[in-house]
Amino acid sequence: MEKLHSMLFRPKIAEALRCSNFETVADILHHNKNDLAKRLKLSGKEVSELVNTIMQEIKMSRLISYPPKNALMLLKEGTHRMLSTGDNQIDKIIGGGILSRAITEIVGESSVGKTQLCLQLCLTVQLPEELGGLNGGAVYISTEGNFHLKRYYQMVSSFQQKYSSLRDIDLAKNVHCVTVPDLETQRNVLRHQLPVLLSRNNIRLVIIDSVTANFRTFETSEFPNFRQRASEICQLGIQLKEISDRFNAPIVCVNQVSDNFAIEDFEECDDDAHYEYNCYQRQLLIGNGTKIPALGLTWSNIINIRIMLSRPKRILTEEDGSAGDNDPRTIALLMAPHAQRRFGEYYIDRHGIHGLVN
Amino acid sequence: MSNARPISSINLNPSVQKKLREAGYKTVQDLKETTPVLLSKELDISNQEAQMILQQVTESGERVSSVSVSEVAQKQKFMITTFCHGLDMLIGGRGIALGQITEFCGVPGVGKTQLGIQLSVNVQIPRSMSGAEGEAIYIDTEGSFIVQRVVEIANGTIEKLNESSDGKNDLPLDLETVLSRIHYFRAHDYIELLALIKIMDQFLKEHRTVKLIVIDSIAFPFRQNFSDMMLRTRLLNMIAQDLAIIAESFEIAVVLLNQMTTRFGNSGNSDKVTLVPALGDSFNNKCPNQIILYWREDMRFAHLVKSASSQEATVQYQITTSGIRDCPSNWPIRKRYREDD
Repeated sequence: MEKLHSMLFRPKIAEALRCSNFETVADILHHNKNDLAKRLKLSGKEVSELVNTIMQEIKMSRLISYPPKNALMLLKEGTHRMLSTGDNQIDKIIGGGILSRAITEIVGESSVGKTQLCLQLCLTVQLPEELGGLNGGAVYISTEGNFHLKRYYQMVSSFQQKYSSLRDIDLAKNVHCVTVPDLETQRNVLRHQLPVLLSRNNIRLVIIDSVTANFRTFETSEFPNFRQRASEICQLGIQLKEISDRFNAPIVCVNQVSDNFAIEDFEECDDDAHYEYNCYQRQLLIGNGTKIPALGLTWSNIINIRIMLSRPKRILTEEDGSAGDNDPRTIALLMAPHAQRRFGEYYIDRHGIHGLVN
Repeated sequence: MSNARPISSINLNPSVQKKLREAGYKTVQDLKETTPVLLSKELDISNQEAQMILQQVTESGERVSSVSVSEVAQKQKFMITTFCHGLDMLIGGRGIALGQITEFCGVPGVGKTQLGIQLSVNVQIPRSMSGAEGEAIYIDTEGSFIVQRVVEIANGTIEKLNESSDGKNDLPLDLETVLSRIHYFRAHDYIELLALIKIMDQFLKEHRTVKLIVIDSIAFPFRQNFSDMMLRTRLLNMIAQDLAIIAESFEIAVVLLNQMTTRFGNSGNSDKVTLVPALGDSFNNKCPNQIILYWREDMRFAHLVKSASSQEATVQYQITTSGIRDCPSNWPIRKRYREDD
């Protein structure tokens, strides 16, 4: 936290601060102006001056926007950019692409194509802006350390066939892989290594695959501590949003699903039922599924955009004994501040993920 | 100043409030009739502290100025419409009132940010069309203010206004003007939010035309780990107080967007998980107007929980490409508007 003694104040204010036990910026901000005037024995005007100086100081070390920008300036500066997935149809469904300066969650059951989509973004982010990229590299933070190298190189060659401008670039060099096997490492990497990595390299995309794994330990440990988990998740959200803003880079978090059979039986009987948690969760279901995004409401409150991948017919085809891999899967934009809910179908081949044109 | 003003409405330390209450002091008038010496004995505090309390009471009294009923009526004339008639009706007739704090709570994706943006645009509707004709401040703590979406909603509003201005006048608003009148602040944690609220009165003195402040959301910066939960409560109370003063003295509508959180074992059933507004009861008690937005099947509803002027009720709304709107009357819904008894 910013210390007061390193800041420049008018002698009278500086003296008042010295005599008080205010040490940090937070100590000042924790009191309202009347309180400050009383405790520091300063006039209202002097308190305003103090607050102003603090504002100027924290502006230097933080991203706080003061003075503010108006929406027209934001529009002209192109504050929010879109990262294309490389497929027009998919882009259309998810509201134009992956939004920079935001956390996008990609959620779905295993082997539905979440990692596939992420690998693809590692490629498209390196495209020039006129082709839908962000002209930068990516950081791939993996909880299992299993960056799919083979699959990635397979896609590199088909991408280089598609985009001639990528032919002479080493598409693997710009993707930095980091493994975070436990929460402690994850915390350290996000707090210390990631900002350095982003400031030294031209990185415009951060992927966490998956955000779920290291928080699951809270559930399986001997003493499940949901309060602590919630506060860890919030801390993560604040950090990721700051990084996203500072480097104008989209953050993509892969999330797993968990089963909730209770919502299947859930019926709205009385008028107060809409305040039941299950009632909220019900609208996260796709088709006849019972899978809902993991990490609960705490995490849902943090993300800006939620993209769900699902394979509704999977269970049927497995019973038939036929391979389900070519079945159409569903991609849904469940939540986004800039677009309406949309659904579409997609399939995966060796070139990547593609939306189906109806 | 009003001598009948309750002491609980004055910005005093809670422990002092408690002592005053226990000693039988209820209104400002009660305190006016006492002396520092007397008070210090009654409350078992030092003479100096007693003097401070009395001074504080006098000071807070000075800020209160009386207004005539006609002035109140004049002020209430200008409201901020949501463009959803049902929602406007719900919160007092013609939309969000100036001079007050209104809180909207809701689960992610239900449309809190959409409503915030809609109001930031609609606050600019000219007085000739019974708007508030002001500018907006948007304090974004979550990063959900997407300017491309603001453009869509602004265009929607401009189109709607043009329809109702029957072409006689010039265009009431144009896109660039609308966008330039939304001042955007981004705060990443509670320290930045506190700092912004502290300098807000200075900013408002330089921007007298601002008629709306949206905080989207008030909850996010306060959901991280506070080692000292007492501090969190105190800071939230301070914010609520500061905003109430700003709302009143600058005649501004303050709209707080709040998240929902889960609560276990409500209403006797321990398995039942219910949704409640975040930030705790003491904060929620500070907001005079509270509306909860929620999903029901695939439809969006707004439920007025408490209000200074209206009865508890529920309405339906929808979010289109152009923004918040009424639901068409032919929608297959059982209860489109319902008064709770």
